[in-house]
Amino acid sequence: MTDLNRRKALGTLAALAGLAGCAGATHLPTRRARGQTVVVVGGGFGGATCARTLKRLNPDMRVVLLEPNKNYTACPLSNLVIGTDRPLGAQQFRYQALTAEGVEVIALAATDVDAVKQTVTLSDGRTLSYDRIVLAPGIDLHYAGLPGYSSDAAQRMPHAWQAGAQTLLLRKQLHGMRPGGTFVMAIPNNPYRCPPGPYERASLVAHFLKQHNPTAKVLLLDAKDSFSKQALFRQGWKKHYAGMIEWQGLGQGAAVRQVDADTMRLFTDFDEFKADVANVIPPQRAAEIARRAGVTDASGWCPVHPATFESRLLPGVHIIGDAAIANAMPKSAFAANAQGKFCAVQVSRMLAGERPGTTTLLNTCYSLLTPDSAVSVAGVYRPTDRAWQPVSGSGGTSPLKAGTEHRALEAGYARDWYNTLTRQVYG
Amino acid sequence: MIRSAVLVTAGLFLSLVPFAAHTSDSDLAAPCAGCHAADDVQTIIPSLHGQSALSLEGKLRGYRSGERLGTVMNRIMRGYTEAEIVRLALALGTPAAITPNASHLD
Repeated sequence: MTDLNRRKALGTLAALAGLAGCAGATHLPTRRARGQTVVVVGGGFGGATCARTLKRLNPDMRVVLLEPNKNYTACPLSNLVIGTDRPLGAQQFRYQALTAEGVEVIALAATDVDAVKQTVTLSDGRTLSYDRIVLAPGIDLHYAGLPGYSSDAAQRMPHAWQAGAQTLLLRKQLHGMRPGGTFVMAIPNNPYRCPPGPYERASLVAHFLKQHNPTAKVLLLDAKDSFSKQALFRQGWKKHYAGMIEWQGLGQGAAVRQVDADTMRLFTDFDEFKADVANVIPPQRAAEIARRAGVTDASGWCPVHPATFESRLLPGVHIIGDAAIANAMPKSAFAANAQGKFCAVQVSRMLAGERPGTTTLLNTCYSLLTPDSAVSVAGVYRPTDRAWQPVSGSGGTSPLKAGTEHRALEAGYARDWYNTLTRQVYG
Repeated sequence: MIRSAVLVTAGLFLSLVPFAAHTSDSDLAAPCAGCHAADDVQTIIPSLHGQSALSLEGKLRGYRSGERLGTVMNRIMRGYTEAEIVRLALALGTPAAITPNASHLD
């Protein structure tokens, strides 16, 4: 296209822009949901986003956010708390911005959902009626899925897979590890929260050890044969932490089958390993409220109609974020945020008696190899009747061949992403 | 050639009208805010503040075709159609900044 042709095409676009802007606003329900109540369970990235978006779209709607914690402690970048001097406070957010916008934040847990009566029971025994409910409860650690592991054992062998006290405990153990000791990480099979998270953590643990305990080792015992951004992590480990990180997969019999917190041992099919620090990331499933509500299937996760995130098992109940089965979309903060916004639009349409729409969603996840070097994976997804599917030809990881500058740029992007996202959701 | 380019753009617009109630431009653009701030902030990731729809459309097309080199943006924009790129630009960009250009059309 010549410059002139291009100007003409774009000029037409420009002239139409005002009109199209009106079309763009049609997600606002024509009949406002006056007097209707939507309850959102869980104030993480998915739930807080959804509650805030619902209230902005429907000023007359009663939007209730049930979240027992006064502070939200975010997982993304929390591996920096473990491996560097990043304070846990940089991971923590409050809900006052949501309250100021008219979201009714109740600091109680939901203990049951009755989808027939359309009520939710709170931990103080009260019940609330709703017109639709959105569950964004996140994960539960499935202790029974790993013999020997329990919430007590996690005080000796921290998971640090729900950020907060566990993050600080693992940090303390890492800092106190004997010279030349072994840091062992047990990594579960898919699906679990944050697929590349264990490998970013291994990187930042090695980053700490390289400076403070250079003869120590990091041993990764993985219940699968391949992992997210594998080639990029391996390249980064070779470059930054040569000889420090050893990964063993399922094919080498490395899936951890049992742990003993008293003796700090991890047992695989044929072997046992003694750890100086054991970071045990157990299998996971949708949080308990989802099971109580009856929206989980045999997998422990929640099957949903892709485009609306409404449960396949119970009407009027939507599930977003880590607890939902979103197929190709990973269990990430980015995905939960994108799902939270779109679910709010769909719920608004359904309550206004309109047909729910469809859209394209995307995900981007950064992983730090060092505090100043990162790699990314991105994906674009569209819903069919059955599943969220990747758009062919899109997505993928950072190039293996990229240089130091590219990795440094992506580390800057990772921090920007975190700051922009948390400001959008909680700020 | 000139006529077809104009028609293509107009066609894109007309084709989205019947679907607007089911897939709005702002729904399509909502995930972008995961990384890109809308206000005037100093970040390495470019803010969308003050970017015109015209300029955004050109950038997004460039990422899609590979003419413009980025990091994640090339991988992401390959997942969007030409029509979706127009809609993203309209939803995220400021129309006011490009309106004067319309007077130079002919």
